Amino acid sequence: MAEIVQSGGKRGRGKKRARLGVRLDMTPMVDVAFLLLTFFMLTTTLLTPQVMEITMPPDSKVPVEIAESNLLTLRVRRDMSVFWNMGSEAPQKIAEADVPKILKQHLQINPKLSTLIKIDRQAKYQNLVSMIDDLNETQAELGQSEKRFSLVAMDDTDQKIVGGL
Amino acid sequence: MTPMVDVGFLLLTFFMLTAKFKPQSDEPLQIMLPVAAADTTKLPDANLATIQVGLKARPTGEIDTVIEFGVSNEKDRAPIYKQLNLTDPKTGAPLSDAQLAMKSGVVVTKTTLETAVEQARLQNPSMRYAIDADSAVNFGTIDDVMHALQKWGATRMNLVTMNKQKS
Repeated sequence: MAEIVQSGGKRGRGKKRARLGVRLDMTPMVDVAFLLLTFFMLTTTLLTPQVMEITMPPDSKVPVEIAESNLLTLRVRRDMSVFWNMGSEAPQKIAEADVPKILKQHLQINPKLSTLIKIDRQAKYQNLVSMIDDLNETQAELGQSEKRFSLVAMDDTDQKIVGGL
Repeated sequence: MTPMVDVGFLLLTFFMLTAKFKPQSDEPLQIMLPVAAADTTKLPDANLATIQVGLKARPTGEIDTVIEFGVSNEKDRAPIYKQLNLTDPKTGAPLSDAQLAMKSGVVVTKTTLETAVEQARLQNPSMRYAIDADSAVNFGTIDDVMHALQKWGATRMNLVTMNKQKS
């Protein structure tokens, strides 16, 4: 591979000479390097997953009292239909896409509003993430930093309330 | 050719340094992450316990929900997994510490998940917890996982999501 180009072979033999032009063939090294480059390029995943941080109360048995006017309840039924109500009003069905609109409307009037998210155990995880995401986005849009919401699974009473709607 | 080789080596160095190799867990789960738009936080690399919840279809067509508990720090793995009484599927012998440290995740049930969380809390109090679940998993399972974390005081949890492309 490496070849030594001797120039002027006629000069004296026994005499030590400084190395003359040494030409290295770099092609194999470059080949290997590019092979490795291709390998690493194909195996890296530059996209790290995003996370949504939520904080839960340490003990769920302690009841929290909240004024009815400060409570917005969102319920997700097992067929993924969404219902909302303020305080103890009757729940109303809304399209999932309209949740941010409702939240924005009410959070704008009352920044102290707490949101209660109730999800059926048979509903999907995506429903939970969408609800929290809508809430986060609305709060970011309105410039409110506090992310107050509670999350519970629907119980039998909730099933009765939204079951027939 | 020299400039091209220079650039090539630069790129090679970059990709070599950014590459991360993860040891495979026993049964890698295929997870379709739920999409969310508002999140900007990235998942930490160290001091992280991940609870993966995925769906697996049986040959008969039924779909099982599989829960896997994984610890990112290799030194924490053996002490935590040890309490779960894992055995070698071939010989039935208990796994050694070295074997346990190689596992990035172990399959758990609802009850052993609580044990795992308890051990993780005792072993490394600064551990953070992430829930990495498939978007089609029932909320009930997620609720159980959250309650297991809540029970042992891991009240801050991270839900792994995929960034929704804003249009």
